[in-house]
Amino acid sequence: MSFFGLSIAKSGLFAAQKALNTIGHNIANANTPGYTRQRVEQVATSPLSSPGGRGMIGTGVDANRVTQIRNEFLDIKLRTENTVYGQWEYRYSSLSEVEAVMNEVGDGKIGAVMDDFFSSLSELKKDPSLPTARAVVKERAIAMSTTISQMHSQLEKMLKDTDSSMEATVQQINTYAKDIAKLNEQIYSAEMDGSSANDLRDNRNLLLDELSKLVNVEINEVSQGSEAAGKKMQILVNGQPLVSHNRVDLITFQDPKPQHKYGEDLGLKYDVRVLKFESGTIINTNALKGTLKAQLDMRDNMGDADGPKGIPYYMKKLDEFVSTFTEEVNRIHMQGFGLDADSTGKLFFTVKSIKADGEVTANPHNPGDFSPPNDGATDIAGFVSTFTAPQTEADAVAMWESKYKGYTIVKDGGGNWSEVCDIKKFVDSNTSEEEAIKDWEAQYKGYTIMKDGKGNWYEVKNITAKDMKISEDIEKDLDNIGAAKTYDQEYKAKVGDNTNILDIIQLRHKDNMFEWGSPEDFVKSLTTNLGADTQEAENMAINQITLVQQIDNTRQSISGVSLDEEMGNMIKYQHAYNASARMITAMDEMIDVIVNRMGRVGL
Amino acid sequence: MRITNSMMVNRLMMNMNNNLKRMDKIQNDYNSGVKLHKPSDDPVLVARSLKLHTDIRENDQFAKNIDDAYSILDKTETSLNELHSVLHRVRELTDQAANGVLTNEDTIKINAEMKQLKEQIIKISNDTYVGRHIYSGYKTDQSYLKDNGSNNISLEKEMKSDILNAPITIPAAPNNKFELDVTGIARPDGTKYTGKYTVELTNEVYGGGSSKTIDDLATDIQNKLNGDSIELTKNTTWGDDQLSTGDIVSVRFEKEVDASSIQDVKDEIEAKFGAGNVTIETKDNKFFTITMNTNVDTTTPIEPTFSIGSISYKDGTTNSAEVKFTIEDNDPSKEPGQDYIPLEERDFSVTVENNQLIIKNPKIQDNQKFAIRSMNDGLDLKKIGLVKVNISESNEKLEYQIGISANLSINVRGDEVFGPVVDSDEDGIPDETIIDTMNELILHLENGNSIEISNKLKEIDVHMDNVSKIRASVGARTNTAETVKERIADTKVNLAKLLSQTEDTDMGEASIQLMTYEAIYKASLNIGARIVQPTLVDFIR
Repeated sequence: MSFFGLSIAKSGLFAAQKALNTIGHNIANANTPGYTRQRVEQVATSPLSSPGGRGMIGTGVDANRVTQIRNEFLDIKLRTENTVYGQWEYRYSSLSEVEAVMNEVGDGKIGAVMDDFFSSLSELKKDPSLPTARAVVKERAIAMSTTISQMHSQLEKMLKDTDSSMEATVQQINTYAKDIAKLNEQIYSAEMDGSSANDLRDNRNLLLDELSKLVNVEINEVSQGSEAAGKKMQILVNGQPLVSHNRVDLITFQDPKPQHKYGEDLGLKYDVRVLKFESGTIINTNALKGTLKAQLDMRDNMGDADGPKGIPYYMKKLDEFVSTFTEEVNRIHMQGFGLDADSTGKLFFTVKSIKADGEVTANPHNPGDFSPPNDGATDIAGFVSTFTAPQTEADAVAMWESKYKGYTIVKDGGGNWSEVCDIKKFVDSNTSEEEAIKDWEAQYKGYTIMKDGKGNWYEVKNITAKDMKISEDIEKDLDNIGAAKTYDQEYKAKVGDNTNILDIIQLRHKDNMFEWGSPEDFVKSLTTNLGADTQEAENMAINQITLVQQIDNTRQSISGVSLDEEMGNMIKYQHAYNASARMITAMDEMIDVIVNRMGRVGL
Repeated sequence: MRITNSMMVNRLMMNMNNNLKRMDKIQNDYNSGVKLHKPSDDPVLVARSLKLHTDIRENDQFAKNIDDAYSILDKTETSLNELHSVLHRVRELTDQAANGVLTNEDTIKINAEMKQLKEQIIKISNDTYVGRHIYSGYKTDQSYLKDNGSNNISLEKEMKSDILNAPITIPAAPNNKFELDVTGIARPDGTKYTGKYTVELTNEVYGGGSSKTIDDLATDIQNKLNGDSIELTKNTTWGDDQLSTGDIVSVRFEKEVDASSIQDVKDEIEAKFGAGNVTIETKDNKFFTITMNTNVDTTTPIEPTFSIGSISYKDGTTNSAEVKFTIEDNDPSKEPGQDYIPLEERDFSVTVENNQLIIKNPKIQDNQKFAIRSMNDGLDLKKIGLVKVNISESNEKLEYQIGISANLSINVRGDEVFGPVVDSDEDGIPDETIIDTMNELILHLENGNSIEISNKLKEIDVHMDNVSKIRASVGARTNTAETVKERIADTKVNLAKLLSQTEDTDMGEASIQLMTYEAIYKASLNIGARIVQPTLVDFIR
């Protein structure tokens, strides 16, 4: 008889105690996010072999390891899907915002204000002499202009906000990266002895889950050579390490901020953030995924070549609508006659600049653009002077005119040369006015030419949605609305003539005004496009969240704490503990017998 | 599969959330009455609904337009009816007066009533609809006739050719001339032009691969109409008039003749009438007035044209063309040449639109008509795109939009109603207006000339027929307006129905759905409450 039995019972006591503690820990963390249930691994301790082949004697239980019950594969799967979810979720919420800005359902915005505008024209058409009808046209045009320009500036603000929220996303990624790096170090040192830092790992896993929603990450646990040396974690973004064990390479922005890809096109007055690693490595945004990518898409993408359509696409479309629509209205309106003397050639909508035939250009063409032998000259006089006999100044002028169609150079009394616009000449040199206009637009992007009722030509720079408003002429004097095509000797409209208004009204059904058709078709197509995009994003986000939840559920099924189970185990280990305690009592009694009562016969 | 409590709770929450979302959508549809709230709800339906909204708004505008059009046409019809009855009364009175058995007193009474009727016609011509003159074309702010019956305004008009068929060959002289007649065109003061333009074209092929295009033909005709090669003659045949002492005949050049040529011109003229028979006077080197010193016998007609070797003009050009005489009224108060359109008023524009030649002259102050006539059989006017007698038409049409690319003309122009309808000199060009007829009637009544009065009966009939014709056309337009109005109302109902089908919530369906979702939601709450509550904990003592 020895104390061996006590020692076995003691190990049972300890094991049960440990298990009960772990159960307590599990129950306490039943609702902790990211918590993985733990279990005490029990093994029978090494048995003693009795000499002489009389079998082996058990020595009790060993319960040193506390392990997590976890399927790592599900983590990887969840994170991949979570990245996709993050991307669609942001895209959906962002597109919903665009939808709210456009608000094109039912009595929608652009469609409705445009209808109102045309209705007012129709009223004016009935009686062009009526000042109230003219006033209504003006007000409706203002309403249309403000609606569209406001819409445009709202979109622009959205773009700017998206840029800011991208910064927030990057900061969040960086915070996660730093936290993970810290945890990496803790886990590594905690696990030096081969144990498992369960709760720290839970924390890290939770951070990784969150991080995976923001950006696509590749997580590697790199073995350090031997089991004992443990593993070091590496998190890659685009194949570039964001976190290598305890070191981080944070994401920052290029400084100074570069211009938006389409900044000039969209007339943006601010620059945007462009990602890079702190170490200097550039981030290839095309390969990114997650919320960050969705933000970049919304901020940057215009055409199909850029990927999913972003805010610039809608801004550009509004610009396209405004520039074509105002141009067409202006072109017709300019040829009309108002109620005042000489009131033709008035613009209806304002434009950026207007240049009459013969007016000096603000920025002349560069004489240096000519090919040899006349190159090198930086001023027009210098260019002309390169023409030496038998070539004359007239040759220089002819060359200029043939290179810059519609422009010519003239010499003033003082012998100074300057460039002037000669649209009439340009138009005359073309086969028809339509051809001339097309030709001009092709040569000078963003500019077009139009003529007034007297046949004078002007060069006009188109406006974008942001600048849409009615012209000062109309703003100041309603009589400037050119309803008539016929006029009297003073170039004053015949008051009852409504033919020019009719032409403007007919724009409503001009099927070839846009690639998408008439103005209302354009609005319709834009709305359908937006609707389809948003719907896609919504469906994708819903599908993806379902998938993520599904995987999470499976993960929960493995790692989650079940109270029933824990209760069962509690009873189990409680009984085990009781039993072990009972064993001690039994042993105690046995020793008592040996120590106190044995050999006392006859005492 | 192992099920944990939190899993069950999560799933329960998720499902409940989905239930709530569905219920929220349904109840939003239910409360707002529409099922489309944002484009992504259903992009296809949203596109259709946008289109329908636009169509409805446009249709509403058409409805408004048609109501206005209807009122104006109604007003015009009333006005024309009134005019017709006035003309009817005029005819009755004329008939009575033409009998010639009336006493002087009766005639005076008739004349007084006639004057009243004339005033009434002028008043009718100034009829307005909400302040806009209905007969004044685009000049809705001015009345068509002045109080004295003369024209107050001019309506722009144009002459349109037939469709041109290229190539067009202009034959060689003398078969290359045509005549543009502006006879009957009145000035604002009521006096009339009586001139004719002879237009001589060049033997040329236009269009069809020729170096000259149809546009060149238009340019050529325009230059001829406005240029100095146009000669003016009085609208009378030479030889009809006896030139007696004191008569003034004039020669007019289009440009000032150079001083060196003046004597040549005078010599030629004098030779034509016989030396000493005439006194030739120069007015501003353009007019030469020839006063007859003796009676000149024109029974053997002197050709009203003669050639001068070569005339040098002040601007340096020369011309050897024929010079034509103009016989002027010898009323000394009248400026010679007044009956013709002076050069500065000749602002003809000839353009090609849709393969038609359009001749316009905005400067002619009139509401009248001009005509084109072939001078000989050689020039087929049809071929060059000008029909033989083509009455010009004002293009001052007021149109209301009553449908997509459907317009209804709602005005009747004064020149159609009051303008020249009667062709008194039977030259194919109407030259007498209602007011002209009235004035003459009054004059004849004053003179008691019953034969002339009865001659006027025919003219009154022509005017009445004309008014009836216009009334019929207005009536037809009113009918159109009515039909279209009905159609617009139908369209509105159809569109509203379509819109309702597209975007309205089906209330029955929605309420059943809502009930279903509610039942599901309640059930899930019920079950949830049972599942979530108990754990083993509850049963361990």
